Amino acid sequence: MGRLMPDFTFATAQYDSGDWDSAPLVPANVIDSVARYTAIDVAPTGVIVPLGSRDLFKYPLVYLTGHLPVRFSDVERTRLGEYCARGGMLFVDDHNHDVDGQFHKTAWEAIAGAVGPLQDLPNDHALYRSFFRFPDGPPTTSHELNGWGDNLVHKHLQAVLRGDRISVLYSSKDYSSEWNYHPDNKRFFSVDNTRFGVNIVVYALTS
Amino acid sequence: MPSRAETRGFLELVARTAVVLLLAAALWRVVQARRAEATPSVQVRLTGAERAATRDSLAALARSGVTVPWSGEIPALAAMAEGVREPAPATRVSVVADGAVVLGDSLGTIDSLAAGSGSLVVAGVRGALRAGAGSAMARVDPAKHVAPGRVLVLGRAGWESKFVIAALEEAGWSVDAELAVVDTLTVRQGAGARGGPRLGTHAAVVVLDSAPRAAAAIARFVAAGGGLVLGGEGAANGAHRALAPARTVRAVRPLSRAFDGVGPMDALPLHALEALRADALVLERREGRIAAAARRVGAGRVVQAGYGDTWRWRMEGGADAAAAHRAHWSRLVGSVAHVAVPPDVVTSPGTPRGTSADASAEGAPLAATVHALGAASPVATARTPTGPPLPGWLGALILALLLAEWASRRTRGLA
Repeated sequence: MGRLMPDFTFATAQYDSGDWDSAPLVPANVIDSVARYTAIDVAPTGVIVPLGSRDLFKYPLVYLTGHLPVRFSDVERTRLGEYCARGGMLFVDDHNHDVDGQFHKTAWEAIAGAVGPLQDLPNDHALYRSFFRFPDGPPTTSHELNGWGDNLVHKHLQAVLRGDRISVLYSSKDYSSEWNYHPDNKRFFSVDNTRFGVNIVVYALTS
Repeated sequence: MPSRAETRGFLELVARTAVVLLLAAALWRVVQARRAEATPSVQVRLTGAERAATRDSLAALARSGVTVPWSGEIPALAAMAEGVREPAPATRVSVVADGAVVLGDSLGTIDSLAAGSGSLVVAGVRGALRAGAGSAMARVDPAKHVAPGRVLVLGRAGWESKFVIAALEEAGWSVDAELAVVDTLTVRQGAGARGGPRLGTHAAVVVLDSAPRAAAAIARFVAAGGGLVLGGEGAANGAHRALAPARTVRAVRPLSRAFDGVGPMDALPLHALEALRADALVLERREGRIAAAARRVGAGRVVQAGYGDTWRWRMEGGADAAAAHRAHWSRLVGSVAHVAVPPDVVTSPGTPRGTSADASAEGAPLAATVHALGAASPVATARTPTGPPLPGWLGALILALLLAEWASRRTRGLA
């Protein structure tokens, strides 16, 4: 009997407010990298899971992004709190790359209300060596280096920790723009910029 | 044909012999009565609530020559306490009794159990545990809790490994882990996660996948006393077939996909265990198929649990699913974990290691009383003959026989 489910399925969170589907090519790109670099049994396509649905619990790692204000409904807030309490991990990326933007301000508030307050994640955290090594912490994005958004290079990611494990990982670095391209175009890069996505997946699967 | 004189002579001989025998019996009764008068006797009535010291005193009295017949209806009751082999300090109390049992410790009543047999895990026991059933009282001294060593989890990167590690750590276990991401890369957690399990470091190893990893080291570890849990896909791991309770496994699909049914285990895929070894013990079944089994190998223990994707139970199950998943894995590991008994736990020959001699002595009042004093007497009486050494009916019988024999001889003209 083969496995009923692959070990990993990339899931994108669909929430009631905002533009949850603003980076539609990120799932395929991360799936490609996980399949390319690891032996993890990964589903070839991602899924979209409503944040307020019980189906959320089928996917212990969920990706959430957007540009617009985030307002979790009561059901979404309750579901997300329970999801993290059971061991699920939410990866949130600010598609605006703007700490003064509406997504950032409202997402921080919504996450604090559902799970807990975000805090800086040390750059020597296990996340940065779970597969590829990132000794300087989170890799910078071209959007940061080009001065777009808030014109900042963010030194840290933020996280809500349960014990020493990450429940919510929050990025202001705009990986949603950085990874939002067709996987075939990776051949034009000297270094694959989605490697950090592999670290997030491997960390979620092993820690 | 004998003559009448010969017949009467024979009857006279019979009468004389009977008189001699009856006199001998009377003499024996006299001697016994004298001996009984010389032997002291203590008749006691017991309720089962006596402490071991009281019972031991009576046993010493009996062994010193005093007759100690006892009576009383002590209810059948046995209680045993053992330290739970899991990190959280607790005591598992097992009780068998004819009637309802009330458990307590030096602080007061803890709980009660219905008649029959049952067990209870109690945390924070103070002093000796008391189990009362009717008039009987069993007292057991919980074995000193010994925190077992670390647990090594071997598997591949995936939700099952992640959530098994999380469950064990939440239950209090210290976990080392080796999780394969690719053939050439293994994610390691903990200082002891390299080179397989070692008895000085690890209490148990959990294998969650089918990779033939550290098979020789695991075999040595188990033989020396370590525990092995073959869980999920690990239950079908051929590298550990010589240790596993089942020789073969058969993959079975879940009975349902949702966790809102009666049993959460029905929603999990199962590696059903088949061709069990003769020394294996079945622990759990699902629809007649064997889901979990255990056996001893050398000085160690092995549990093979065929349920896979148990992480789905934790994530998708009901409100208590995370706690139930945590308890499930902690129990599996605890059932095989190696625990070194410290030297200050007093043991005596015939006493199971890890329990104090006093606990075994008082854990079963009726059994201990019978062992010490023998079976109860229906009515507490001395076992020596009573009454006058020569009863009246016996004297009359002897006199009648002597007179008959004398009269017979006289009528025959003999002196």
